[in-house]
Amino acid sequence: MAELQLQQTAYAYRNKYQTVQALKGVDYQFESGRFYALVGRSGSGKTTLLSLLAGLDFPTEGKVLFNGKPTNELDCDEYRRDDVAVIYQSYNLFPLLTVLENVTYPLELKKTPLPEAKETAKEKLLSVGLGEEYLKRFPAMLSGGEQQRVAIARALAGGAKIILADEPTGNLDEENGAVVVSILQRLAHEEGYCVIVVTHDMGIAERADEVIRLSDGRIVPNETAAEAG
Amino acid sequence: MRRRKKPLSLKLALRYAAKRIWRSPLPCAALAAVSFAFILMLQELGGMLAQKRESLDALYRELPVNCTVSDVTGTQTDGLFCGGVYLSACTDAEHYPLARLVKDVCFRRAIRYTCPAEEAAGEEISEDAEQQSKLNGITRIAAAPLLAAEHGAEITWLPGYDETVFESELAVCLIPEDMEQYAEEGELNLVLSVEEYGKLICTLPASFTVAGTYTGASRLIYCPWAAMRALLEAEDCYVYADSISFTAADNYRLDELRSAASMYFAVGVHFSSNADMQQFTLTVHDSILKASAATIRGDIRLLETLIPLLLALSAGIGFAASFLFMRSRRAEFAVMRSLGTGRAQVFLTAFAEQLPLTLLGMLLGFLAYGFWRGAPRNIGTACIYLACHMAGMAAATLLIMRTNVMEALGAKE
Repeated sequence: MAELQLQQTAYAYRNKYQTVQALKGVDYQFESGRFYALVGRSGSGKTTLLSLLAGLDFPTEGKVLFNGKPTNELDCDEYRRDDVAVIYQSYNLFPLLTVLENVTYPLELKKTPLPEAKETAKEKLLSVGLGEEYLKRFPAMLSGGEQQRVAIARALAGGAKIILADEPTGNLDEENGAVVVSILQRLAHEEGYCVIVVTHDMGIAERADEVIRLSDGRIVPNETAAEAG
Repeated sequence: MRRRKKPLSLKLALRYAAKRIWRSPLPCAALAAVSFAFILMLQELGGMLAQKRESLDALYRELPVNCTVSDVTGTQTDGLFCGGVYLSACTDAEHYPLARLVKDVCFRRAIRYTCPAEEAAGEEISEDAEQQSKLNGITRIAAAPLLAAEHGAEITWLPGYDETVFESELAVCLIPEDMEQYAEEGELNLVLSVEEYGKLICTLPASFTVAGTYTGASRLIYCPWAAMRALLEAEDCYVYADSISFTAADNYRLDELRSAASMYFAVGVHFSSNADMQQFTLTVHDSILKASAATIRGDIRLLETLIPLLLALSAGIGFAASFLFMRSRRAEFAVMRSLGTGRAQVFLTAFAEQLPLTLLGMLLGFLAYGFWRGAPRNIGTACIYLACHMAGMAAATLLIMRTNVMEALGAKE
């Protein structure tokens, strides 16, 4: 069953001068265990689509369905706590919390007892290659790649099975970017996550199972990574 | 969107807030400092206001407001020939409202005397000295200006006597030093010439025990008013006072005093309401009280205006301080929202940080004020400050939280 589905999804907003149609009747299905790359020029609607998928906003027309239910009928806070997690280009870790505290935060939000939350957090950090020595460090003490891995661990800690990543390698060098993409790929292929990555990086697009090209608010017909290359 | 009631986690909010405060003390100290300063200011203003009110009250309680009776023109305060109901009105509290509003009533009546012992001693008494030989019946020593310390009169009381004798009915007297020689075994015998409107009515023998002497070249003898009245009443003579004055018993009731007095006296520009009693005027000497009170009242009005203004300002300052404190953390709140933190929980987290800092600032402000000025007061005003400040903070926090999550996180198309 499709995890996330777009049904004639459209989104318009009004700025000072005009109404902007950011998305125009988009249809798509996202499934577990696959790694999707969402590509397109600036202004094509990628981030808008991501925010609709994350339940941070709602379509002005059509629907975004999660397990068959429209997101505007869900408790979106619960949706973001349990089902979907977002990773950002600028990591967006809590600067005054340690690495461990950043990763336990989603668990504390779900009222997980603190000892259990810490154990789970340590597991997730280990799964992205960050050991005990990182736990008490603050984000400012980490490299970009390490911070992004903490962000991934935080996304995983909440138990979400859908990972939305907005330019996750945008601030990373090639090496660290490759590590992050590897982690995301492993999550999709080996652990059954649905991973959707917004990216300008065609190298990521090449490693995706499916590339979704957005142009002027519409999806260009579906193509594989090879065709996108 | 289906809405379910989301239980808030105060523990999470407090834990998060504690970590932030501990790890980022400077901005937190700045926020606390705002409350610290406000509380100090409010306490100081409150203290000043209380002090002014106490000063005003002390002024009304302690400043004597004297009232003098004079003739209808208001110029002559002696030789009034003021008796009967005028005297009763000042002393009979049971029947006259005016008497209940006055204290330290001073009556004085002067009756010419001759001293047989002095005449027997062959002393030559000049005409002037004869004119000045007067027995003054007084209700208290304040009724005798000559006995006031500023005139240099030094009184020596005999054992068992002091100035309270004038409030009694004892047949005692205070005499000039020079006349002590004419007292026989402590008793001074006099012959009084009672006059009315300059006309001799009768002569009375009178005997007084010498209670004390005073220095100075004077022929005036002082006895209690009640003793003189008893003498006159015994001979069926009209009892009147040459001068009347008193002090207001309660300065807060001066208007009432004026109103009560107007039954018998012309008061200020208003003639007595009783047309038959317009012979005398009562002047209430409250100009100093009024001037001093007006100054203090002006200060009180200013402070009473400043304090509410400051409280209103605290809402604005609370808003501004909170806005500045939170503005740089919009992204942080957006991250919380994107991780599934409800709006109420985010708000609670922000408030859980600001409220303790505000309370800490207030507590330090109270302590500093207590150390500087003594016990803090105006706890009520401080509570109002807290409410206004919190309202401002809540408004700023809500405003900051309204930011679109993706925008705040700097997501770019």
